[in-house]
Amino acid sequence: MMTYGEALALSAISIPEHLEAEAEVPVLTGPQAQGDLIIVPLDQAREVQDWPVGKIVPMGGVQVVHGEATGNTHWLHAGFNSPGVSWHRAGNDGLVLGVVTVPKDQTAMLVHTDEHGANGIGPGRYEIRQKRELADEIRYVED
Amino acid sequence: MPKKITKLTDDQERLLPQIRDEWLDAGLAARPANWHDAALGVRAAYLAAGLRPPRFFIRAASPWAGVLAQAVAPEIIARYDQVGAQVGAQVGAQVGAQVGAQVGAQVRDQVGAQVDAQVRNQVYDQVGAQVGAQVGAQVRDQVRAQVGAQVGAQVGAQVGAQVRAQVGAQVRDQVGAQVGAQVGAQVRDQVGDQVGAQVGDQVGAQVGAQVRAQVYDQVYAQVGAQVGAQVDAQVYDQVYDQVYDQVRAQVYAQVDAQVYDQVYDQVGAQVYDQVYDQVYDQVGAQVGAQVDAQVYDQVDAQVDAQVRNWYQGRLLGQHWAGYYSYYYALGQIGVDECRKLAGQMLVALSAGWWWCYRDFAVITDRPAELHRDAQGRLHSGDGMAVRYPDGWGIYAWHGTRMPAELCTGEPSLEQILKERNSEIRRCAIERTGWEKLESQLGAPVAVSPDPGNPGRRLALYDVPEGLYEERVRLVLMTNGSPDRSGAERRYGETVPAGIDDPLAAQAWAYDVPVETYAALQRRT
Repeated sequence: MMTYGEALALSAISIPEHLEAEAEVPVLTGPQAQGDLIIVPLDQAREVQDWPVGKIVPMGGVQVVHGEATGNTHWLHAGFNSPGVSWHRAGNDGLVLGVVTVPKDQTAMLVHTDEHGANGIGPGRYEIRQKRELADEIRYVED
Repeated sequence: MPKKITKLTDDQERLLPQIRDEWLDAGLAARPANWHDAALGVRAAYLAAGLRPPRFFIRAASPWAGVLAQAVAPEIIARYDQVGAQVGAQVGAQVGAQVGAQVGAQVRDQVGAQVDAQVRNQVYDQVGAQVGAQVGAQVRDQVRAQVGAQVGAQVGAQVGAQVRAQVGAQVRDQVGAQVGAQVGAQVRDQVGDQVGAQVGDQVGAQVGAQVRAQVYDQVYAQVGAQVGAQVDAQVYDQVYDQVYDQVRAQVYAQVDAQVYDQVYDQVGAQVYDQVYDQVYDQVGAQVGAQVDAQVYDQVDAQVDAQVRNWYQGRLLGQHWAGYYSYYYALGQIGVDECRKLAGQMLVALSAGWWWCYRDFAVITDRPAELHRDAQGRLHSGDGMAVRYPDGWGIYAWHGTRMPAELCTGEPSLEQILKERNSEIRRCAIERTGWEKLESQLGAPVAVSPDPGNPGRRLALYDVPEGLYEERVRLVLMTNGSPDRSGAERRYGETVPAGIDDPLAAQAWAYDVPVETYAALQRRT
């Protein structure tokens, strides 16, 4: 299992002091949240869609969202010994940012470069979604 | 080729923290620029790139003023050069005749034929060739007014075309890339050859990375973001307002500083006073403004592009302390090629951002004030976090750039909720204080534990009517991970008013079934 220090090192950023570098990141297969993002197993989403598998996640990871005011962002990485993790980036309308596919016996890591730390994702297929809020019109929550 | 450096000596290792501290001090310096040293550094930087130093050095009091200055300087400088050439032949005879006619017999007698002829010759010879760049403000304005009266649209159009071409040439010049990137690349190559990986990493970790983390990541990121945001927002109007208020005086003053004062003295202040007083009133400033308008209409698109293109050709001066500290340290341990960066380094030790173009350089001042929190992030609950001498700057709350109205005084709930950005709202609420806002909200409609977020709760509130067209409710939640200072982060987001359960509110926001949200295993 990866530690926080190892997970954040994937994004080549130093670990914020307040997070224990050595604490292990739990790898889970149920719904999880990281700040304004939610990781939802496909069969627990509101509608089941036929999402493509997408492309293998490269060494440097993929940027899932870019934060506006702070310049921080959420990164998706393959975990240890996980060459099969793939990411399909969704189109621009809707709350789904993309779909991550983690093969059997492999893991993926969703890492946030500022305060959120890391979430470990076990085998399965998951939507990564952002939030909306209501204020005269529905708008995306900008982190 | 010199042998690779694979190990630092004890003395060299002792040097590293000192170098780091010096560059940290320079990178975070909030004191006036040392303009003298900065100009020296600029010259050296051009020479290191194999370029001639520029004709004009323009000072600006903030990064924003610098963006505007580098946008309009090409046009102003080119206009002087072009007006001089265009006007020379036409003005000489006209001014002479005008002076003769307007001044009148009595004055002419007083002044004397000799002086009259002298003025005509002086003006023709000196003003014609040198008008924009080399003669004092009075004569320049008067000539411009003369041009308007005598020559009108023709001159305006001709000058405009010339200026456009000139501005185009200035913009295309890749001087910035040469000075900044090419010199840096040359140095980097040499370092790669001469320094072993381990030593490079050591210097990088102990000096470069530490300085970079504080200066570039924290300070530059916010200052740069603010400049970028201002460029995007209503550039056009601001360019002209700011130009005439802030930049023009500085640029003109710099251009005048290049003047050969002797020319002005030779022509004679006394004579020019008479010419100016007698003639200028007749012609009128309106005509001069017409010429201005014609010229500016034609160049405004170029200026606008140049403002939006502020990124090109800019070097960050003190904000690149991290980068320079690394190469400075390597230079100290024997990589001589690093000396090529000495000019840039001197600027970084002396001033703020700078831009280099073929004919001019713009150098900007350092902040008058810089405030950070215990974690080194820009922060001030009371006034600007970074303030430059001209008043430009940014407000920030623990590293988040804030709009002024949410970071001063006590913004109302209404103001805070109108903010689009959730992170900024959170900071505004944190700064104002939950006690103040929760009392404006009244009792929550409902509360519940937050799944996957042990010990924290979600609370749902009614939001005062009239705030939005549709009735909304507010969910207050606590982030799963503490902030860098260890404090909890709480957020408020709005949902449709028909929702009366906090879990349903979150599920609506993510657009997932409420059972899915209730089953959340972990929240960070």
